[in-house]
Amino acid sequence: MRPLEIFTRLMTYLPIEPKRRTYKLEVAAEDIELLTIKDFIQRICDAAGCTSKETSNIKLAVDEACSNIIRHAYQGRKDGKISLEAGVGPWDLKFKIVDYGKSFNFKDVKDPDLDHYVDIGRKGGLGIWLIKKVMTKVAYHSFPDRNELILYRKLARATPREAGLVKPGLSISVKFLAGSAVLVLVLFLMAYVFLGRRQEAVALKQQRERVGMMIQSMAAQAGRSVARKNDLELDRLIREVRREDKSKVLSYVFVVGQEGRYLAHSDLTQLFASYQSPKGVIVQKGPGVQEFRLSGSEGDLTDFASSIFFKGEWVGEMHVGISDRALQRFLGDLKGDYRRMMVVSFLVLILGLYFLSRIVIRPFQRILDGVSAFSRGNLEGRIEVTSQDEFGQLAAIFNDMTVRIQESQKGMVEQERLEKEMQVAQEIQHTLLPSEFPQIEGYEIGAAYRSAKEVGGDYYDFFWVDPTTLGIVVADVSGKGVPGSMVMTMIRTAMRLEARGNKSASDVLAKVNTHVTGDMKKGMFVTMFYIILDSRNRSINFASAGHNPMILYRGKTKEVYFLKPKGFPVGIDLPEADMFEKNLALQKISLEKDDMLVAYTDGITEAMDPDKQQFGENRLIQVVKENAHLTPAEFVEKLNEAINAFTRGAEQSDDITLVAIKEKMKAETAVFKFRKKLIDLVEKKGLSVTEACRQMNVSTKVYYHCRKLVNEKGKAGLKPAKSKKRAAIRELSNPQKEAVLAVVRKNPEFGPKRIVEAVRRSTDPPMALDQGVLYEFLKRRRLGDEAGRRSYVLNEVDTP
Amino acid sequence: MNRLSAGNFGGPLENISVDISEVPQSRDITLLAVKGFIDTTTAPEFERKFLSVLGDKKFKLVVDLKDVNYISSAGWGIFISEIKRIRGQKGDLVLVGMNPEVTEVFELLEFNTILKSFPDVDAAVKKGFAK
Repeated sequence: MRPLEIFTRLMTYLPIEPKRRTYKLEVAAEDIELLTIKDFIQRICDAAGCTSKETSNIKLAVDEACSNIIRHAYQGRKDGKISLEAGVGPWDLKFKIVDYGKSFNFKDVKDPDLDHYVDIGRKGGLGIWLIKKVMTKVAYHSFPDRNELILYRKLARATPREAGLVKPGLSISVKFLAGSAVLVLVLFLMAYVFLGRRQEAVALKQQRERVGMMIQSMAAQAGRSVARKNDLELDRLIREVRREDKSKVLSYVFVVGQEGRYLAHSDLTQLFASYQSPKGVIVQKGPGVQEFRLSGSEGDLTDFASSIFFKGEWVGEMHVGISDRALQRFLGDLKGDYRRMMVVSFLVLILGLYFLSRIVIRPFQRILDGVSAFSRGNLEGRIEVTSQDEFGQLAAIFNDMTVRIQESQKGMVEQERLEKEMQVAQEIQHTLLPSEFPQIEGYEIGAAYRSAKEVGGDYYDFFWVDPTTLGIVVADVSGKGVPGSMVMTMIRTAMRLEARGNKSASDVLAKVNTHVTGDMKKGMFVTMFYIILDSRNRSINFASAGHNPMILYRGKTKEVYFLKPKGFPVGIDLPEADMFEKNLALQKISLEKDDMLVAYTDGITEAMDPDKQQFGENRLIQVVKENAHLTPAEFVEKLNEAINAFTRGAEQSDDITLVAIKEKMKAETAVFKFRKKLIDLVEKKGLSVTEACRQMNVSTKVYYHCRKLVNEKGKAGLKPAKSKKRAAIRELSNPQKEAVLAVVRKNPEFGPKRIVEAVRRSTDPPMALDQGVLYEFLKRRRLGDEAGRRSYVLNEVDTP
Repeated sequence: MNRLSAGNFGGPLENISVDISEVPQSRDITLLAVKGFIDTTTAPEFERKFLSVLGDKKFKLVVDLKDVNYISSAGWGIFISEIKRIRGQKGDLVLVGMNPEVTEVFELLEFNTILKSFPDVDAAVKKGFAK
């Protein structure tokens, strides 16, 4: 494996998205465009180098997805658009298919039971299953303005080399050797050309000098022999010269006497023949030696001659001939040696370099082996660091990297586990939520629930306290995931058990708290708002366990109140056993026509837009004021829209739960209708008094009271003489609070009584405050005494 | 992406053809030779032909897919939606000549547990309808 290949392989282990080449296509949502889409996919798969099976699978999946969009998201509408975005990564393909039509619940699509399909002869609905089968991963996200289907497919090509990302190449040592061989060869050639020519010249010069010296010394030795005409001695001398001539360059050697005859000659046939002085060109006229260039039968030659003297008298000459051919032969031998030497040393050098490169590369090989093992999945493997050089550093960095990758892999596994847990929790939670709203006489109810991506732990529920009384819970569990869902299950069971027959909201919450507190993990708690709607008495009572306030909108005055009876959250381990119950307040109200109650969780007020701005209470109040005239269902829809418009598709971290309640009939009408029904049961349907009262869930006393009313004034007597005094709201409205705080800031010394007076005087139209309500408000804000009010002014805590 | 290229494909009718004939080896087996591809756009045409064969009370069917390079869920749905009726009439529907890509999806979607398939028409006629 090559380093680049290893690097690209390693990249697959890193938790980062690989760089992808992207391609885009936007087409109209029409059948005919499916061909365009298929053509587009074909080209992308070709570009990505998919196998034909992969191409076919991917084409199929995208085709199915787009067909579904045309059929179902746009339902055959012709004006729809489909946007396709394809990302080609080194090991995978990713497609994002966007439509702007109807969304569908991807998670609810189940794998089809094929046998069942065969049984009932069904042919549709296979598309999603097919997509899931042929793609590695499929995800579907629905946004307010669009739906996104993400298809992800891993490609089978095993290595980046197969993917054509890395071309197979030469190994480093071969490259190194080839490079150094070329370099050495060039150097040797240069050496050969320059040094070789010089060597040649030097060799020739040496040869001439040697011959010159030899001939001079011979001539000196030969003096006596020539004078005495001692042929034998001269012959011996000549043979000695030839013997000395190891490189065999001498063509001839002879001695000429005074008479001009050869006294001795290397060619014995020439002996005693007469000597003809050579007709050559004198090349050099040295002190002892003369050189001539001659042409002979064996080609050109150089004749070296030296005079022979005996006792100072010239007695003859000695000649030595060197033919050019012999000299060339001598030089040729010399060059041959030279070349052989060069070849041998070249080979030795290359061999040496080869071993050297092996030594240098060995640590690299070790790193390579380690990385390869890692790439094959052995994440535990480490490379031994043996040196401090670059290789050592590389090995150390690699080891560090493997540790990090291992850690991040563990992190990913953990992440997956958490996601799985969240999914389970979400499923539990969804089964706990009521699927439809109950119908209760005289009240209209609208509710909405929207889960965040992570389970935020909202919970709401409706149940019958008795046949005419409905309990409504809105709650927010502090914990997320499975623990949160467990708590929710517990609370739900406890609520449903305790709510039955108990018409006091605070009492129910207190009992639920005793049930669950011991079983809840430390640090977990639940805030709850529990509302009891009594359709018979037309009264509503509620309690809050640390939950955010409920909104009351009064249709007559168009004022908005936050109702927040005090109470600790459920599940907190309080220092005293009865502290929860003691601290829990019960409030009662009656709704009039056009009044509306809105219970919610803080997911609404804390809904965030992409810039992390919160929706906030003021926007909520605004929406309530603008839409309170609608039915609760319509109002819920409007509020939902307002939140969507505000968040602009930003992902929400908390669930949103919302319940709106409106009075449909006046309390008097309800009482009248009830009484009339009771009388009718006995008079028209002929039921016994006991049976009628049992059905209506009242004591027989009520019947006889009604009977008496009818006897006295006829049916009209059943109408309540005067509507019961409506339970006062024990809260100040927002403008009232502001007015009060303004007075406190100005005159901290004023007590409740003078504050009421001051508020009435300072507002237009004059605002009337209930002194008791005001006192409770002041106490809650720690403004009950003058010291508290003064410290408030000093600290300037001016939140209304 | 140039939109003109899509126009050159023509309408769905040009993308599928279904030839209906008798198998030479056996008179009561009907051969449906399909050419082209079966997807959302061409499935209705194929279904029309297919149902007309069933309407003629021919229930021993060999569907030759050797010239089919692509079958989407719309196509598979047609096969499995009618198989019960066909078998109820003591007939069967077998697929032959699927190319590797089509075979892969066939197996991936577990249709091989429902429908028989053979390499060619001969094998299908010999083994496909034996009781």
